[in-house]
Amino acid sequence: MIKTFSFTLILIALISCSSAPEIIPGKGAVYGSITAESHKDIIAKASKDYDGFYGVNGKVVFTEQMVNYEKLKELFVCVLDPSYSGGKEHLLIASDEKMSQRSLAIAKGDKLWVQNNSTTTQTFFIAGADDYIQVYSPTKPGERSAITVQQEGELELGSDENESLMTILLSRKGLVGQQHSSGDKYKVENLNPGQYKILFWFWRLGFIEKTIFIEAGANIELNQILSVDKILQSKNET
Amino acid sequence: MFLKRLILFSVLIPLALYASADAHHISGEVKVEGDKNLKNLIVYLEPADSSKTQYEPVVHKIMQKGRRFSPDLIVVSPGDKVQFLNDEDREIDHNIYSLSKLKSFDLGLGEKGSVLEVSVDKNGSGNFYCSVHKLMEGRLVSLNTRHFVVLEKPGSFILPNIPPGKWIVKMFVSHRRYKSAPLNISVTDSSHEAVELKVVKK
Repeated sequence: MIKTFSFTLILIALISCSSAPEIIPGKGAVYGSITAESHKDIIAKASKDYDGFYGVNGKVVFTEQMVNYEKLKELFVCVLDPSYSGGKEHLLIASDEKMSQRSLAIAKGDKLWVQNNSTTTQTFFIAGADDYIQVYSPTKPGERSAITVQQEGELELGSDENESLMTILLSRKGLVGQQHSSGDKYKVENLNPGQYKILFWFWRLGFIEKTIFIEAGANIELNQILSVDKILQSKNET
Repeated sequence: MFLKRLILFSVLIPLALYASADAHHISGEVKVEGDKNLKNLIVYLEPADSSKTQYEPVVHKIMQKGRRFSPDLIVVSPGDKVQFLNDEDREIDHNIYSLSKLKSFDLGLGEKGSVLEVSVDKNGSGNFYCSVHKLMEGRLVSLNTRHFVVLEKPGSFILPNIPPGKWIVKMFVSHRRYKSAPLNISVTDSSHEAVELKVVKK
């Protein structure tokens, strides 16, 4: 009994240690968890022992037609770091049916490669809401090409030849992004002291933006849940 | 029998002529660069004088049977309302929301039989979704006009019953690779036919 208790304590301690970043002298970090969940009304209905399609034993049950918030794999944690001017390289892969990612967070100035694994030549492009557009050189099957992203905002990477090839891009100046699955722990380390904006983004929901103050030798814990109601509430507050 | 038809036509033809005496139509063709088969092109007219744009509000309806929005593209004007009717034949709930610049809204839980409503107060476009079902996605386009036509594919179009005046013919192209230039048209005493609208790559 005592052994089990001790083991549990050690395990908890280890988990706690692994989620909080090590303190780097003169630097700070932000860490926490990112989770997506259903709308609060759906959760409330499921929790009432409802005998419908969504709730079993008080929990939402996700069917094939539903957005399974517990299994989302494209949640992004993005710190806007004014000292970062871009240059990171990203890779998307195009098949005949779809892109390897539905969404991607990048910084203005990052290089975005597209590998064409489809069977025909593709002319990829990156377009925003205005008339400015960036067009890749035609990319033959088996080849890849790249563009340094010059736009900001919610962009679309598409193909002239195949409309099913589409990735939504969130591009911001100084964006340092990490991709996570729902329920993951994240940590952004080695940040200089100062004020930062941090975005938690899922393409179908939009993002929650928060301001954080990083102090030298300190960590900030910030856990975020993404849901329709929480994102809308956050938008209304700002 | 022949006499009846003759009487019918003698009444209908003058009626038709009378109806078209003041209102005209604008018709023509939409051509896309490279013959790209773009979907959901919206051809519309805006009055050249933007102060002449006040309309009686209209209530639009979107159904949700089979976990799909129908229609999934809806054109409205500022002041209109959109009703979302849950006409599922089983107990399926929806939660319709949009976080677009046009309108941010969260209509909460929409149970079978429910009618949820949102008003639109400005121009623009934005997507709306059901947070529960992954294939439920639609687009709301708010235009400063009641004169529009949605084309499933490029080709011929007709905008009927256009009152006399100065108009601008515009197109809403949802595909971000393409754009179209507006065209000024003055409707006086006749219809405009063979208007050519070009959609080109940005």
